[in-house]
Amino acid sequence: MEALSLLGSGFAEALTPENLLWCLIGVVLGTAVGVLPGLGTAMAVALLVPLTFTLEPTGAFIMFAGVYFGGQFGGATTAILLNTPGQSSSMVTAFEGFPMAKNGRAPQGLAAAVIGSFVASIIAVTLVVFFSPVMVDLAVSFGPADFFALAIFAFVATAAIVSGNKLRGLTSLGLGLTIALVGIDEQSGAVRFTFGSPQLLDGISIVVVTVGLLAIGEVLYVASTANKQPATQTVTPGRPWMSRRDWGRSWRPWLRGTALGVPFGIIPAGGSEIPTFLSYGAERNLAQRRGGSEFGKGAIEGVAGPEAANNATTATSLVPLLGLGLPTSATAAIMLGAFQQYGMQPGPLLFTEESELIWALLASLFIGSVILLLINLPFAPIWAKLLRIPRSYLYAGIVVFATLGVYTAKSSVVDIVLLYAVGALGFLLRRHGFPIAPVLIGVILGPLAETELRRAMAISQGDVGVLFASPIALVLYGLLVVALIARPTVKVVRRRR
Amino acid sequence: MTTTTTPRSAASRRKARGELLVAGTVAAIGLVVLVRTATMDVPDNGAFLGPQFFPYLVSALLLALSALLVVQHLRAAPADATGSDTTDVDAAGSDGADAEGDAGPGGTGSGSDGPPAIDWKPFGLVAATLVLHVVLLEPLGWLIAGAGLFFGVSYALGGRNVLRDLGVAFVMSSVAQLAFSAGLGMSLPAGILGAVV
Repeated sequence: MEALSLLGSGFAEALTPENLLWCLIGVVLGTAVGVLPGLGTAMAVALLVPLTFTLEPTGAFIMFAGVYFGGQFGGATTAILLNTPGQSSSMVTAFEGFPMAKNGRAPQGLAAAVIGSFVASIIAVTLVVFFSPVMVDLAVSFGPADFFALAIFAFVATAAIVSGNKLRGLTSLGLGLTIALVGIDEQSGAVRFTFGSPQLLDGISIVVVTVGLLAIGEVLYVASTANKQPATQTVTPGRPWMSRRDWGRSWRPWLRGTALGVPFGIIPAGGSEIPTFLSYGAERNLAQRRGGSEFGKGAIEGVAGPEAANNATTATSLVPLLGLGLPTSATAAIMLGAFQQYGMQPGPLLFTEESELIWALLASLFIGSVILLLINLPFAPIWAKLLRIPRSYLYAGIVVFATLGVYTAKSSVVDIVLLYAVGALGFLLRRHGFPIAPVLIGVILGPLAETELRRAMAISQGDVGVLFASPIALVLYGLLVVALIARPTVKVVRRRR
Repeated sequence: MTTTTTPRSAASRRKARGELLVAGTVAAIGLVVLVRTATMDVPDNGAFLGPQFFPYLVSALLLALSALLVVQHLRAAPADATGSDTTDVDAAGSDGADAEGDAGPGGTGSGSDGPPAIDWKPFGLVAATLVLHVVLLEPLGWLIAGAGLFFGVSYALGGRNVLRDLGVAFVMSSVAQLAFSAGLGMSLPAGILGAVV
């Protein structure tokens, strides 16, 4: 198989001592950020992206893979030990994980989460390796109208379908699209919305937007509710070894969770929230049917399944990201921003133009999950110590780190101003219950939607029909309609949980 | 604003005002986009859809959404939500960052109450720290401004061991300076300490 030999050369590239070191550093840093209360994978990736820009692309993306897996693990750790999931996709993990921790089974809960993540990542990345080339073959036949349809699909999917309230989701999306308008219009050279500032000619960097929305927004939010924070209750984790019985109870949920998670990454219907809920529901029903269900009191199946589903979804979201340049989750969106920072446009051409880098990245996803397992499984108790840092230092550190990261990317104070302004926007949205993910999708795919729309209209000389003339576009719009109708069904499933 | 409300109605009031606040913000941004688009300098290169088309679309979207948010609010908030809600928002503060605090959000449909009342002191301190940092970064340099940033946020969030916190803040900013300039070869503003460092 061609993919295998390419992957082999990817491993050769990724397994140099230097790149292994970057991967290791990435895993450690990613876990450190992911473990902090309230911050999840997307935040870990967003905060650490600026750091990777100092490296050459291969090293950067390998470190990136490490950050990603580390952040994923960190989020699960806080969900289990503190009942504070860093992101919506770890929410379900806390349902059973925290009761487990209270029963003194935190080590087993952590192990079920880590090993589940490992199993799911290995399976899902293997699928990515074989499916990405297929996606690329398909993507070569995409015209401007199809890309426009894809962008619309992603917009509506994240804004209206995934984030419960359509109006709120679309509002977030609109704000994201607005941010994306700033800067020189590539096609005509017109200067748009820079308000006379030369620093804005390049537009507002995706790193500024993500770090501002997630990190600064979070700190402002925490400050605004400072005297209402519940005293966090730390549970001491022990060494995460599982008994034979735990293994017996976990391996099937891992595989089922993976199977549920995989398809949700590939279709741009965004995020791993739905598959984690589905997996939780499935495991609970199965446990009840078997009798003696421990659900509600700390069932290991309720940790194993959703964590596997979460990781499978995030890993397979690389297929549309690499093949089409289409992010289906916040993490993928930040990753796309990172590609663009290096002047690469994910999509069909990426596999031919940057083949070496892509295969090295895919190989390091395997390496990253192995390193994560080896390093974090025995040392989970040490990570939990991070939670003893006083809250005031924790958030002060986050602000300093976010500011530095953004400043060093361009050595521009204007970027810091933008960072804080976006942070204020993030706070406003967060406080009033508007989702953040659609803002990011709007910022990242807005330019793609505009460019492709204008291209399509230029080719057809203004005939709107061209947008609906291609079968691919029609299929996408059809899927969208189906998804809009199917959404209430998913809601019912979740409510029944 | 009226203060003689029970906690519950205070929360739902905040929620109601929050929805209008976001709607107002979105409408304002939409208007700015609309006006700037209309007055944009467009290079004449005969492209079919010019650089103004998409911004017009976005501004129309924003204006429509803000209108819908208001409609949603009016539908969800029954008779007890009086017109005075809107004026309350204006009274809360004219600059964006401050105004957002007082108003509540509200997951309409989720049936949740508004967010907790804003805790003004820590929030204001963090906001002030951020503003000061931006203003002072270049004149004072990273070592001082960065330490101030750390200290300000930490103080706002309840750190009260002033000497220790200041120490930690300076260690943080120095380590960052060393890591970035010596380690990664990137420059941070030296500021007034430029001659010394």
